[in-house]
Amino acid sequence: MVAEEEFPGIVRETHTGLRFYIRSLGVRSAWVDDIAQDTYLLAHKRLQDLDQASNAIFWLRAIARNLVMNELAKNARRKRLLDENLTSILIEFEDHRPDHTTLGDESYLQSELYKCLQTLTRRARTIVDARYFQDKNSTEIGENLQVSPSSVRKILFKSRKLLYECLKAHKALTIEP
Amino acid sequence: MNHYKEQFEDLLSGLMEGQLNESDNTQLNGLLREHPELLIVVRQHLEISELISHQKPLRSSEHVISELNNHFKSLPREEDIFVENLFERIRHRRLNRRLLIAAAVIALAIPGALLALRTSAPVVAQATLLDSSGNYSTHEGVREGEHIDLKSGLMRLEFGNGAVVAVESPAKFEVSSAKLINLKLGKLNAWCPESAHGFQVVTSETTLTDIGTAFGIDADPNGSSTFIVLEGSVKLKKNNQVHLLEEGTAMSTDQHTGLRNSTFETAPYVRTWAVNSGIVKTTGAVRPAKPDTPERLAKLYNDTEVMVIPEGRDLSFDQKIVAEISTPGHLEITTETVPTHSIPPVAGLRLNSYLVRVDPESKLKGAEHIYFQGSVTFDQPVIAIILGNSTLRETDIRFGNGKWPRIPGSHLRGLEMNYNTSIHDEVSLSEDRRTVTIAFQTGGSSDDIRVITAK
Repeated sequence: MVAEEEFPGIVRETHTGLRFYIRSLGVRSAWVDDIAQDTYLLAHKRLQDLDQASNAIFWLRAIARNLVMNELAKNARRKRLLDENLTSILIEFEDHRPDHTTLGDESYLQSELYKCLQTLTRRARTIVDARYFQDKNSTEIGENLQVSPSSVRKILFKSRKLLYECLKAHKALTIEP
Repeated sequence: MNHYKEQFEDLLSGLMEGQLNESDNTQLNGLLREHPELLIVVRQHLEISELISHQKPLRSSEHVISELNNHFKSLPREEDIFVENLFERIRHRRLNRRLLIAAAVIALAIPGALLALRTSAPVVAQATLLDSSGNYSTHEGVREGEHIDLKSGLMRLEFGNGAVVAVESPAKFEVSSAKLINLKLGKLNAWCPESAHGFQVVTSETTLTDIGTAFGIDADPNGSSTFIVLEGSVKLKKNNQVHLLEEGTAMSTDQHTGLRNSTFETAPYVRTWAVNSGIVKTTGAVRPAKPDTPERLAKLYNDTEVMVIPEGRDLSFDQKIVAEISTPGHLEITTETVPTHSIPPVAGLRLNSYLVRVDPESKLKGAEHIYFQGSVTFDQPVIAIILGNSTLRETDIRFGNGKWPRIPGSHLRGLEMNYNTSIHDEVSLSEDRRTVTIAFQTGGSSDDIRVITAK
């Protein structure tokens, strides 16, 4: 059984991976942290159910998954999901393909992410910056850079793909069953 | 690409922005049911966008944990132990982080650069430090609000919005945001593409706002500053004074006087301009050109040194380049014509161009020649070197600085076989594609080569 005083350490170790997982179930970016908080509150209440701290991430994922499934049952709160049908498909898929992307150490992950961002073209970096750090949509970015919104979306798509592959190649994230 | 994959990419891109309507969602879900392998791609895109979002201050680890604290604090008494532990943990982590940074600064022995503030603020620029010999020493992210005290060498900052700023020591400044630098002391040279318009540098009492440009600022701690514009224009504001400063002009101010016109003197920016332009190092008779406006650079002559003159910058690679050299190796001009290679365009790559030129200005008579030897190292890999008269001419409009042809006798400006001597012009490209080494045997006309780098 995990002791009470171990919990803050568990939070520190798992919150990035947990938020990453919640997002992969099709939860809107703005609501990911909210569901992560609910997960930790619930987990803290049931701490006696966790046999050892090293299993915490798997246990927390299961709690988070149930919370996301609850979202499907609450019509009024579906705004937390990108699309309820998509979330259903992703959860169903998870039952058949339970492999997960596991994140490396947070500081290593961060430094590798910046290195990988540097491998993108300057234009792609500008677009990623505008999308993720300035919260601009592709229409606004396109207007600023004088390119079509569909070109911006294509560049963002390609950039996300390249960043994922780059982080995987640098072992900052791994796929684990 | 399969039609359904193309459709999937469009729909997924729309989903990531939350812009899909009901019919789009139905279409996407139908595709995912039909092609379940695409679900892995959906997961990956959701995951990576989440990871990038974590770099924003409001989604940083410390903010998330602090928010979690607030949640627990609102719960009944039994949660208090948890909150206390969590706060204690955060306090330790903050202290540890500061100690680690202090240790890292000492361990790295960054010459004079004290990265004094490290918070969870977002990284807004990538900094490269160069020592006094032009060797890269470190490379790291600079966070919003970071104070930098540069005691030796130069620092090159590449901002996410495309702006490139080079600062020469001694310098003290704060990177206040992705679009704002507070300069207390030092020489600074900035280049801002369209995506960085509005970039600002604030000195003691004056604010410079970029309007699409390359500019330089020399500031001292007593409140004196000089501003020059190398390309485009900037807006200067001091108290109630507002001036539009145009290309090729300069203004200065101090703590007692307002903004006033001053001499357009580019000498203080020789080093920052070269580093800003991507010229990392030169050796032998090769030198970076003195900073100037594109129009003046296009007419630059020098009969004692081989000048590296920056030309077009951040150009799209949307059409092929025909060049004599496209791979690492050595070329000696021993024939009248050198074969060319066609380099196909690559979407997404951005190109910079440099003219490497020496011109003896008709001082030589008859069969006289001067021998120049040296090298230039760039910050990006070289993908093409153009050195023939016709290939240079054909690429002038695309890459050049001014209106071409403009130089009398410019049809002979490339490298050519020397009939009067057994010494030939030579050009080498290093294995890492960063260094171009030249040996020019220059007679009555100029010797030019155009080097194209890509990123």
